[in-house]
Amino acid sequence: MAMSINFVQPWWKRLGIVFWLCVGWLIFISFGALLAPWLPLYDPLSTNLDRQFEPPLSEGYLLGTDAVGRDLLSRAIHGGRVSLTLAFTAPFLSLAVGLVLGLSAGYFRGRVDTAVSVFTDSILAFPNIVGVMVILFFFGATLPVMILALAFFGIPPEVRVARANTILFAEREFVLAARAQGASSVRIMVRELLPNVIVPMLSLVLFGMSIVIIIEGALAFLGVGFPPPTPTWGKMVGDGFEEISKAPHITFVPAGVMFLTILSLNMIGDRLRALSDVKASAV
Amino acid sequence: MKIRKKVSALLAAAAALTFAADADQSAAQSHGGSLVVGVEQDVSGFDNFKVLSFAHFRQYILQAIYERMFEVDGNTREIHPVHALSATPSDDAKSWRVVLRQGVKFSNGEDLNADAYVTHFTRLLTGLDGRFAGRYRRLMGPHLEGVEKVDDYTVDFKFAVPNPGFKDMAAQPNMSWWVTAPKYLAENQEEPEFNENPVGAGPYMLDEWRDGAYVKLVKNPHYWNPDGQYLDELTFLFIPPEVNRVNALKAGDIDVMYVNSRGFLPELEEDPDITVVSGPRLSSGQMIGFNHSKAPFSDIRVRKALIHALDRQQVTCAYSGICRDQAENDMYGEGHPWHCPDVTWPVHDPAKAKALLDEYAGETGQAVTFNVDHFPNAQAEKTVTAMIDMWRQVGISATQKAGPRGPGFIRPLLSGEFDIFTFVENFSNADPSLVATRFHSDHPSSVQFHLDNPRIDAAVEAVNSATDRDARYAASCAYQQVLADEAAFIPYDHPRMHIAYRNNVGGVQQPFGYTFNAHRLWVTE
Repeated sequence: MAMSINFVQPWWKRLGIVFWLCVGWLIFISFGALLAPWLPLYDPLSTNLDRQFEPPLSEGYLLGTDAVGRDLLSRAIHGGRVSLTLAFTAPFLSLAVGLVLGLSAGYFRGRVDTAVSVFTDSILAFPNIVGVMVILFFFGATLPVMILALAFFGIPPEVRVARANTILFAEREFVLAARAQGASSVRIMVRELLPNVIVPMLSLVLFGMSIVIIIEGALAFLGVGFPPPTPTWGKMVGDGFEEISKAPHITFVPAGVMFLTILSLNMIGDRLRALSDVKASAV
Repeated sequence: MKIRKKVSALLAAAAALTFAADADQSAAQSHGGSLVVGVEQDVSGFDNFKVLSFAHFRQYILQAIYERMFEVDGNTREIHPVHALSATPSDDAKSWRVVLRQGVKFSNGEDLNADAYVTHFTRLLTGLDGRFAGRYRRLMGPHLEGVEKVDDYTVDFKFAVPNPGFKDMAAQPNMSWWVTAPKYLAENQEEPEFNENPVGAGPYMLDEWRDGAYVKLVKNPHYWNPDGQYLDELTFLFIPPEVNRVNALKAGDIDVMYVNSRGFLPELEEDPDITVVSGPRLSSGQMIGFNHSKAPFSDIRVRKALIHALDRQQVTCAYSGICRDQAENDMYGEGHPWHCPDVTWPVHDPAKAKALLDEYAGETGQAVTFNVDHFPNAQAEKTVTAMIDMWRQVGISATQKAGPRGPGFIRPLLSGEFDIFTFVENFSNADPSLVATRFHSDHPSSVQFHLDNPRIDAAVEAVNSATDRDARYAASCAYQQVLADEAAFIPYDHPRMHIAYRNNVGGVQQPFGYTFNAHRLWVTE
């Protein structure tokens, strides 16, 4: 169902309370992750085998402990450092490459369009999670490798959206006017098309951020993510699964953090998309 | 010949009496119905040359199809004759004469006789150009040279070195003992579907194997002891995550399972519809092994420091997820007949660990840093995580790396490119010779850890040369102490076997080794 925006209200009210709650959560979790080493938290790697499987609200452990007595609050916050680093880098890399390729394909069409389409179709033909697993297997599960792998498989949707929007705008009057005035192709793409194409792509980036967090979780669950003991949300969920019947909080604490983050990203993305959607925004 | 016939008759009568006595003890024995066993993985086939895993869950399935020469009664620890009636060693224990039971037939009607055994063991030792010979020699005892026919129902197992523990090993399930019908083998072993169609002499035979889902067995119509075929159907359902097996058992979707993770035991024990029995398992436990060929592990001070830094009891808790078992000091679990309670390892003493490390660093100028390669499973990961944290507290910097899933996890060990490798000493410890030989510098497995320690070699040789039971026990315990004194590796846990079953299941014995005899169970309404 398309969302509608009431343009009579001030801009911050137009976005709604849910939007701001989501923004608030993302700010909270991002700053928590950023400042984690300086926060008064337990060492996320430090084990306490006298306090295994402590439930939430236990003395000294707000969110409880895991199977080796590590503090789940500390691990959830430190885990955000990896998951959010991925979320804030890989989709933007995909966006950058996707924009260049999509704008070129949509503007030049012809052979360029064909070449770009073959490239994106080839990537889409390969299951992205399997592809990422293969890359991690050969190059090692390090943060840069995972960022590049996830960014690579995030390129096709960005290309397609950029191309479609470029085709849409490339025949509009302001582009034809710029062309008639002798503007170069690069200038037209950067100055005329990019500002129009980038808005719908940004909401796609937010969606991509959610996907990246989910894929990291899936990879960790499959045992091919970051090596232990580095905490990531996906890894924490995977670690807790074995104990889910007797200590479900080990799984549900990181899963809850993941859920809220992904929900927030999706809600914000949806809201921004509604803003950029001509029909939905009721312009 | 007459004497042997009389002996055979007496032994057969004794076996019959044993089974009758068992029947007396278990008045609730009943025939008919079906039993569903939850196991962790698919079997991947039934041919010894196609199946690469020795995993015990496979053994439970295959022994129902093949049966074997002897079985251990988990409750009494006595060895019962099954396909064989007796096994008698020569004076030097280099040869064992096995008298086979007459009238045992494979599920296709062929006789299980001396020729079948000779064919089977010859295939294991020489088939595929002997590719698997080493593997099966290890399972059957030190240096099996071959199996020779004496008469139609008597064979000799010949060993290059004394093997006093042969009968104990023969009573434990492993892939060596599962004999295929020889004529069927000759006609079909080259066929692609041979791996999927086993023909054994056990109480049940394959009815259906649905890849990745289940193996369903039905009664073998030619089974030698029809009274021992309690079930109409015996199904092994593959349910990979243990939590799902536990839930399936509690819901009644399966009738019996073995429990790997002790963390599940409390909830199973609390369930009034479920009974749990436990016993020592025949593997020498969870350990981490040092690469003795490289610094800093070539220095005994570092090895000892690493052990002093560990609270091994806490490591056991981390491994099992529950603090209910003592950290082990020897390669046998508590309750095992070869258990050595007096073996002592370097105790938890971080100050001593630091002192040893300082001494090493002062002498060599090297800080102790290393990586631990471990199994790709949650238990190993948690254990190593806990160890690394304990080492960190004495100033050691260590990392951990889980191996890839599947057989590739062992690659660092085989290539020699590792510092520390976690391993399960999966070699049967039914007899000390099996455990001891493993760490002799001549043994291929010893080479993996680059153990080349004259003290250990001498202790191994002492174990293997002792034939009297008491002498073997003393030599075995002395050997265990040498391993501890040399800080050869770090033992931390000895997994016990736990069987959980619904109360309508009968015939479950206390586990001893891998004696989860699903094919000996029955169900009541």
